[in-house]
Amino acid sequence: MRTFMLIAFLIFSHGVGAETEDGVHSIVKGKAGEPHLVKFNSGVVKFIEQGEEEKLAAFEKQIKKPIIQNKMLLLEPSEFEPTPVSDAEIKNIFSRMNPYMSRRSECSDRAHVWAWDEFRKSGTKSEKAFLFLTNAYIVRNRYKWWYHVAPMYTTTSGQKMVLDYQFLDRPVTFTEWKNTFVFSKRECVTEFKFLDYDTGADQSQDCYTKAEPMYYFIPLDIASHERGQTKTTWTEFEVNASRSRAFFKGSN
Amino acid sequence: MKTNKLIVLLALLSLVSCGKDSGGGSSKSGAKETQSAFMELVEATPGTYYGVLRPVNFHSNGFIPYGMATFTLKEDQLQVSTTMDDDQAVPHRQTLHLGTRCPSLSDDTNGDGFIDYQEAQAVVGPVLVPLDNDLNSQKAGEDVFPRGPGMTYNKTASLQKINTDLWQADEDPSDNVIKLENNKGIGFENRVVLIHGTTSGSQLPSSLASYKDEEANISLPVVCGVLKKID
Repeated sequence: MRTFMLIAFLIFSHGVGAETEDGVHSIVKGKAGEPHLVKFNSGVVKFIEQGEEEKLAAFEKQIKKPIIQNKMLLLEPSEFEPTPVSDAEIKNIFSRMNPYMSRRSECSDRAHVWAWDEFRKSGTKSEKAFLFLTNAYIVRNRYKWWYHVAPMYTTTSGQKMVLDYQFLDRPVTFTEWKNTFVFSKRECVTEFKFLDYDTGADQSQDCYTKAEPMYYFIPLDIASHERGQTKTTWTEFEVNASRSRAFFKGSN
Repeated sequence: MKTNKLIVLLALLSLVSCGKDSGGGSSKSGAKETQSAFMELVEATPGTYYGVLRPVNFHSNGFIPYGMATFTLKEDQLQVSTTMDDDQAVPHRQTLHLGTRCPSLSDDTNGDGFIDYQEAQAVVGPVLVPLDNDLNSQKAGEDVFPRGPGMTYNKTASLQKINTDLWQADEDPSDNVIKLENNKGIGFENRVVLIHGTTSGSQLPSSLASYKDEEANISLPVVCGVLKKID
């Protein structure tokens, strides 16, 4: 099985054009008295105050329409199943995670490399836990990220455990992970389409969450899936680029 | 690897008056009294000690800080490097502690949702070395700390000078900075690095204890890590 995956990886790992640079994902124009939000693909949010519309215009020019040019993306529904692992193995996986993060590393890069490294070592399929914050929440808390992502593993008892090595010193349940980053600790919306969230989430909510296959790198991959193009394997370029951005050279 | 384990001199503890707080704040009580929980100190051997610095108070503002600490000992030369990604343009008091773990929300004894200076000190223990402008002594370079945002700190020192300073008499037994028994050298394995400081604009409760008369936002612990030898 792993041999097959390796072959598939080698076949499909050339010439792909996944979105990897920290481009502008979207812009949310603030109402009177509220800042404008510039959301980047990395998850970073930049606040542009009212009266600084020139800055905002510069960011608007950077918005790119998503171009699906990745040959690996297949027009098939995903049937991804994470590999169940024991509680003891969850701890082992955590202890194997690359601890040498570089400055200003982004969660999407870290999560992608950690998930790939474990898959390469043990063949374990993990998921990505995505947390999306609403614009209302971001403005209220001057929060500097609009989403966060980390690797998530499923235990043999069905428990979802998130391994967010940069921020937490142990594996935690999905709920504990979510509560760490959502100050209000309110429940998040779980049944939704990312495209709907992206075009106008329910601003009475604080957060939305999704569990996605380990291959998904950034929210645009979720959007692509919802448009009918599902990512079903790794992209060498994407993993390598993430590693170079998020970890010290030679630390894998 | 050298394995002789060193014991911190507890005799000094008898000099400490329980509950004494001479700083005007609430930072000092319990610091040296609880040393017995942190006694085991393995003398440093050449190599690199590394720790991931993780957030202590996630909710102090909208930017969740993180970083790393590296202590490299080569012969007599110690190089200390700490970095922290934050967006807080404030000085970041940073210290190496005798404790062996970082505080978590379970250490929030007053239940205000934050780990304040005093609650953190109870966990990380007394200060071995302030990571300030001069690592060679606890006093020299005092209170000159790196400043954010995007803090980077690099200092070198002599291990012999650090130990010689640690063997001096404790000039202020009431503070949270300790001395070591003569000829018992400093160690880094499993020791804690703690960094403080967030902006005044942060929404913090009035219940926070601070260091001396410092503003609560400056005293607030922001990241913490435990050093492990990696080579």
